[in-house]
Amino acid sequence: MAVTNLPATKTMNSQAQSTQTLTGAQIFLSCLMAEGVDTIFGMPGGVILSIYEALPEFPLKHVLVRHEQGAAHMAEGYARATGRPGVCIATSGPGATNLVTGLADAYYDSVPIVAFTGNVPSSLLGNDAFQEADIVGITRPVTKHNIIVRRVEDLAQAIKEAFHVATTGRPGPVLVDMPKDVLLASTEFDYANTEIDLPGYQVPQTYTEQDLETVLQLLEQAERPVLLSGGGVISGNAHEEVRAFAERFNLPVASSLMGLGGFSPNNPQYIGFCGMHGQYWANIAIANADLLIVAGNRLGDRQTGRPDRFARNAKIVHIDLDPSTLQKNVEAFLPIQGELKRVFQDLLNKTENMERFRHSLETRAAWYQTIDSWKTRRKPESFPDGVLSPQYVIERLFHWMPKDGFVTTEVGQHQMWAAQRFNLDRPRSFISSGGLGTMGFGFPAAIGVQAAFPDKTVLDIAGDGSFQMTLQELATARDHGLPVKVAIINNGYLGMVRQWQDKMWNRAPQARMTSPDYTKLAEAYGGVGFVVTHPDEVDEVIQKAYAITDRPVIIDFRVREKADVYPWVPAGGSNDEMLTEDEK
Amino acid sequence: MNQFATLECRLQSRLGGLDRVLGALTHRGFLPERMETFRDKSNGTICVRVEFACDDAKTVEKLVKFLEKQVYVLEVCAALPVSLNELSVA
Repeated sequence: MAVTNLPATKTMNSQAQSTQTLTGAQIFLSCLMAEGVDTIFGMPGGVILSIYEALPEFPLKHVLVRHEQGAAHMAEGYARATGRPGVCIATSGPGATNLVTGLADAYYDSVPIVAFTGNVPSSLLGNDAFQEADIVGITRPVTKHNIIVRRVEDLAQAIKEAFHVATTGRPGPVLVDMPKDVLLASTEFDYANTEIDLPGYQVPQTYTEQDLETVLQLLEQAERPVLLSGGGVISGNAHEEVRAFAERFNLPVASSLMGLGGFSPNNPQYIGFCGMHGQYWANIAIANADLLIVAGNRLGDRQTGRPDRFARNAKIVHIDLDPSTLQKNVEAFLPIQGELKRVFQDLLNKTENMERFRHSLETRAAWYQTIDSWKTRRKPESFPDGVLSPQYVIERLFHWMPKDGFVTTEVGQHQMWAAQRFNLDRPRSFISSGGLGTMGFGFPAAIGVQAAFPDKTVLDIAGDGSFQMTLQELATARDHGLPVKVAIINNGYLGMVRQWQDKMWNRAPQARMTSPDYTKLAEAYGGVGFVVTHPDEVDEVIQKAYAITDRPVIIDFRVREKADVYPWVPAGGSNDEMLTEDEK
Repeated sequence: MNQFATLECRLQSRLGGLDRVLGALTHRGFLPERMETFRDKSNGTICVRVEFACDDAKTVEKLVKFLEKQVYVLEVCAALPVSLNELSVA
């Protein structure tokens, strides 16, 4: 621990040699070291200068961002790719408020990030001081926990609690606000003996033996079961147990957007991505299932469509760590609250002898045949010859992607096309903004991933609308030699907005938008830019871009303007009423 | 709405817990009809009792589940919607 090497003013505990007197800024950085943090994403400012003054004493990598929203998304990308908490830091006032979108994004997608903000000196709080903001008040609804530290003596405990809360139970963002005087004051520091005092914070495990037995009884009777694998399978590191369970019962497995990569798309039992823009056959399978086991998915509206029609022929077993998710949007026949890894391991332990399930297993071949028949009933999307279609571009980006690469997305049409086509088969390899739907997320998130895995290929699939929200982070990527690839699916529109406006009102006011010359933009920031206008150029440019390893790359794919995402469930419709391309 | 629900929470005595309770009510559109908050000197916790207009038991159940997972919330209990007359008698 770095604490022993610090320029402490004096050692207070001569016996244990573990207590030192440090400033708040030193305590902050020492806590990060003790929590295993290696990278922080942030921007300095007036009230946190004491931290930046002390930073060179600590072996922490600091990624200087161009906007604090980027810092929060980078921390998210880092956390989603590694499974470890991401850390970001901002100064008071606008620095802090700029974090809000990233915190909300992490909240709705259950991402463990810890955000630190400075604030004005305690004596000025409430005085409308320069760059004062009640950031704890502002972020209360979009954080799992937040706190303003009023005394330097409480700082280490607050930070220890922040990491504990962010990373345990259902993960989520935590914010710690530190007034300037707290960072400048000194006190004794002994992290190992700093205790967490959160008696109300518990991670319950309420499922019973009877719950598990009921699941098995339902599986005995099921002839058309489906398992829906959600983001909780990934964040709970339960993918191995879920795979083993699905294989033991030969269950068809569908995935939510957040669950992509949690169950291998190369597994023959995988039936695809489901929800509003999910694969037709996956949605129809869920609509016709007689048993739906939902693992780590909150059954949000983009997942279920009309909730009273969702899986209406099925008994639903909903397994989730978060009790508040159960019976919230969809009424389950059997809600089970507990850690997914434990629940599925317990189910596996109880089913080493599969004799009682013989009848159900004998029906599975017919069920798979039925699902296969839905795959062939619909025509695949067709693309005009010679025109650069966004779907084709994304298919080729995936084709050339190294198998150990990562992909992030922005939000919009390109995100759905990527979810349908980017079949990476590792957890934490497909990183997207699901709950909040944050345009501008993908590029800074990709920088966070690249900072954690500097030698891997990291691709951001972007829209021209989304990329223009956070493109200033090109400078961050360039400064740190992070070779993120940005594939802009450039259709000259806010594509999803245009699609909805076209479908609902037969016109699309204000969805048309211009872009800068992305090749020049990349070069201006010290990166490399390509432009692609014809299908014949796609493969060569992608290979060139993937080969660049020392600077950011932009590929401007000038795709046809009015391609639509299919399948598509109109607002308020049920998933089995989805429109496919041959019904548009 | 002519029915009222009652929510009682016991909170850890730290800044922020009460705000999360009130914020959750506000976000769901519930205006307190009556509210009482005090420090319980016997155990150092903060007690809050809120009565608010609500005629949907399911909404109250979801609110309780949400509050139960707030970090500074030690305990939550709720009386499901009843008419104001019944509430006064109780």
